[in-house]
Amino acid sequence: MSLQIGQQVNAELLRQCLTVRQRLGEGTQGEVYLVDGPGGEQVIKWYKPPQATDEQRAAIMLLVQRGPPQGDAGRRFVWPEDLVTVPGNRQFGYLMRKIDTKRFCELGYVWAHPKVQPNFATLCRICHEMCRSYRALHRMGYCYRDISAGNLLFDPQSGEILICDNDNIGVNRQSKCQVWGTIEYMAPELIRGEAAPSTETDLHSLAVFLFLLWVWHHPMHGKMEYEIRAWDLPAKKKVYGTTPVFVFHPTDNRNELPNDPDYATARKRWNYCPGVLQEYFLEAFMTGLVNPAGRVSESRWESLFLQLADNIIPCPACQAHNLWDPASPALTCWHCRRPVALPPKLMVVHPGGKNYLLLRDAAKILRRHVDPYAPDGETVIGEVVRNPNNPQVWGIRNLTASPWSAVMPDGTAKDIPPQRAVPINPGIKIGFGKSSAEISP
Amino acid sequence: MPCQDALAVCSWSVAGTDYLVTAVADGHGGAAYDRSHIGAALAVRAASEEFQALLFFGAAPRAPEDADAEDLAGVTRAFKADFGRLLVRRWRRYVQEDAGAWNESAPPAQDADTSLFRRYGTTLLVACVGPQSVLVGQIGDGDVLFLRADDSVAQPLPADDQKVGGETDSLSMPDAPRLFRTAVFDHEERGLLLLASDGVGNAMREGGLEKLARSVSASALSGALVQVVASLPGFLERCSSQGSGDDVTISMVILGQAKPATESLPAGAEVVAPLAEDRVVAAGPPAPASPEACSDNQGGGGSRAAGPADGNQVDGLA
Repeated sequence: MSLQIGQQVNAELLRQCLTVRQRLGEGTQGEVYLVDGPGGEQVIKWYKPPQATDEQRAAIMLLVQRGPPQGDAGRRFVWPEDLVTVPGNRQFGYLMRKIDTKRFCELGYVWAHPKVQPNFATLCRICHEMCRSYRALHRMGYCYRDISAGNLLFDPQSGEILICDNDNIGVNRQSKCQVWGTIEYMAPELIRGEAAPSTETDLHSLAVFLFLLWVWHHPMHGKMEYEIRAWDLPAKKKVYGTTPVFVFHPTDNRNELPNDPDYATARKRWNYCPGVLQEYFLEAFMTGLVNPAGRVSESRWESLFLQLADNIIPCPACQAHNLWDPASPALTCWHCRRPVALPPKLMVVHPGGKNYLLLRDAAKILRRHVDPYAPDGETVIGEVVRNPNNPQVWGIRNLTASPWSAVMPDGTAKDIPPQRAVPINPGIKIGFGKSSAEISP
Repeated sequence: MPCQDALAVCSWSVAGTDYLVTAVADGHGGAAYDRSHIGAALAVRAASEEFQALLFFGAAPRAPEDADAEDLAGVTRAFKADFGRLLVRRWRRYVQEDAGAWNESAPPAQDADTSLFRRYGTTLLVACVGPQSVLVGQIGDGDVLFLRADDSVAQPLPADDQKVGGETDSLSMPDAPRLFRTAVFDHEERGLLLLASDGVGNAMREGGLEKLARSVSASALSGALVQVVASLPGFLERCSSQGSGDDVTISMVILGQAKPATESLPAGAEVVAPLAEDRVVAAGPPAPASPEACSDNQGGGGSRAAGPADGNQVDGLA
C-alpha cells in the first residue's frame, strides 16, 4: 500500500515522527517520498509488499547500525539512516538524505547537453572518487551489487559524486539480495548464472561505468549488438553474458565497431584516452571478462586517475587540457593536433610502486606522490620554482621541515635543506625518506 | 512546400496491460533539409515501432526470480538505456530505405552530418503512457508538459538552456543517440499529457501551453471535450498564421474521466478512444491552413501522414 500525502511515519531508531510531503517516484522495489521532520526535508524509500521481506528489513537494519564507510569516501554514499515504519503496517522503508538534483546529475544529462561536460581534470576526479568510495565499501566486507549510471550522480563542475540506492548493499558472498544488477553492467558469470553478486562482479560493473564515462559507449556494443534486430533478453544475455567481446579487442574483431556514424564518438573518445588508460580498459575487458580474479582493482584505477589528474598539461596553442601518458615519449594535443612540448619529469619509486610527475612551472609535489599510504597525502612537500635571478633555471623547493638527500649526475651527494631548491637537471636523484626519485628530460 | 510535421498515435496491449504511444516530429525545413517532411514521418513511425519492440521484448530482469515476472521497471530501465540508440538506428535504416526508393545510395559512413541523413533532419517528441507511469523522450525543440490532477504542471524535459537562436538538436546528427533525452514520471488517475511542435509554443505567450492544457482538461471533465477539440484547428491555424508561421502539431493524452466524442469533428481534429474508457487522445492538425502562412524555411501547406506502425495506429490528422 502506498503512503498518503500528509501521513505520519516513524523513524524507528531516531524516534522521530515524519510527515509525507510528496511522492517523488517509483522503482522496481518501492516508492520514493519526500518527508519532513526534525531533520528538515529528507527522503524515504517505501518498499512494495513483495519486497518488504524480513530479510530486507534485517539488511536495512544492518546497514543503519553499521553505517557507511568512514571519511570522505563514506560520505559520498546516500546511506540508509533509519528504518521507517507505520503502526499496523507490515511494509517498511528507510530514511536517507535529500539529494540536490540541480547540482548533481546522471551521465545521460551530460550526453544530452543539459549539463556541461566535465573537463579531463573533473572526469579524473569523478572516477577517482568513485573508485575510492567503492574500495572503502569493499574493505568493509560489503559488495554494492548494482553499480550503474543510474545510481551514481556527479557534479559536472566540481567532480564531486554521490552514490545512491544503497539498500542492495550486502555482505560479500554471504547475504541474499533482491537485485543482481542492471544487465548492461552485470559481469558475464552473473548473467550466465554461474556466480552471485560479489566484489568481483562489482569490479566488472565499475569498469563498464568508467568506460561509459570516458568513451561514452558500452564496451560490448559493437558489431554483435548492431546486427541484432530484436534487442530482447536472449540477445542481451548473448552480448553481455555468453559471448562478450570488447569492441576494441586488438586481435578478436568479431565485435569491432561497425562502420556507421553511430560509432564516431566512441572512436574519437577512445583515441582521447591516454595509452595507459586504454591498457587498463583492455585488461578489464579481456582478462577481466574471463577471469574475475584478474579484474582491475579499485586501488589501481584510483592511482591511475590520480596520476592522470596530476599530469594534465594545457596546450600552449589552444589551451585545451591534455592528459599525459608516461609511456609515450611525445604528446600531441587532442584538440588542435599540434605537438605539446613536455617539461622534465620526476619518476618516483615508492613502496607502492612508481609514480610520474611532470615538473611544470609551479607544479606541486604532494606527500602521496612519494608515499601513497601517508595519511596526510595532500600535504605539499615540494614545489617547482624558478630562480628569481635567472628565470631560465628551475628547481624543486623543499617545503618540508627535513632535508632531502640529492645525488648529482656526477655522483656527488648533496643535502637540500628546507626552503632550498634542488635544480631540475636530468639525472639528478632525490631521496624522500622511504622513496627515491630521478629527474628525466 | 509540404508540411514538415508528423504525428502518430498508437496503442498496444502487452500481457494484459494497455499502453498508448504518441509521437510528434518536426522536420527542419529549408533547402538543406529538402526531405525533412519524409524524415519527420519516418521518425514518428520509427518511434512507435521502437516502443512496440521495447514493450514486448525490451525489459531485462534485475534478479533471477524476476525473469518471468511482468517488469514495468525493467521497461523503464531499457527505455533509458537503449531507446535512443535503437530509435536512431531504426530511423536511419528507414531513411536509407527511402533513399533507395529514390534510387540513391546510402550515405558514406562517418559522414552522416553532411550527407543524406541531414536532408531528412527532424526533431522528435515521443511519449508512452502506461498504467502507472509515463515515459517521455525528446530530441530537439518542442514542448512536453503534464498537467496533474492538482492543477500543477510538470515539464519532464526542460528546455536546453545551452541552445540559442533557434538552434536545435536533430535525429540526423551523428551524436543523436546521446542527444535523445528521456524522463519517466508516475501519473495519477487524472492528468493531461501534451506534446507540441515548436511552432505552437513559439506562437504563444509564456504559459500559453499550460493554459491550453488546463482548458482542455476542464472541458474533458465537464463533457465539453468535443467542442474544445473542434476549436483546435482554428486555434492552431491562428498559431501559425498570426504567430510562428510554422507548421503546428499538438497531441494530447487525457487520463481520467473524459467523455469520448459523440459528434463529428471538423477536418484536422480528432478524438480517439482506442484504449480503456478513461483514456482519450485529442490531436490537433499538423498543417497550417495555407502555404502562404509559412515562412520559406519552416514549413508549407501540405502534410505528410506517418505510415502506420500496426493495425491500431491512428495518425496523420491532415
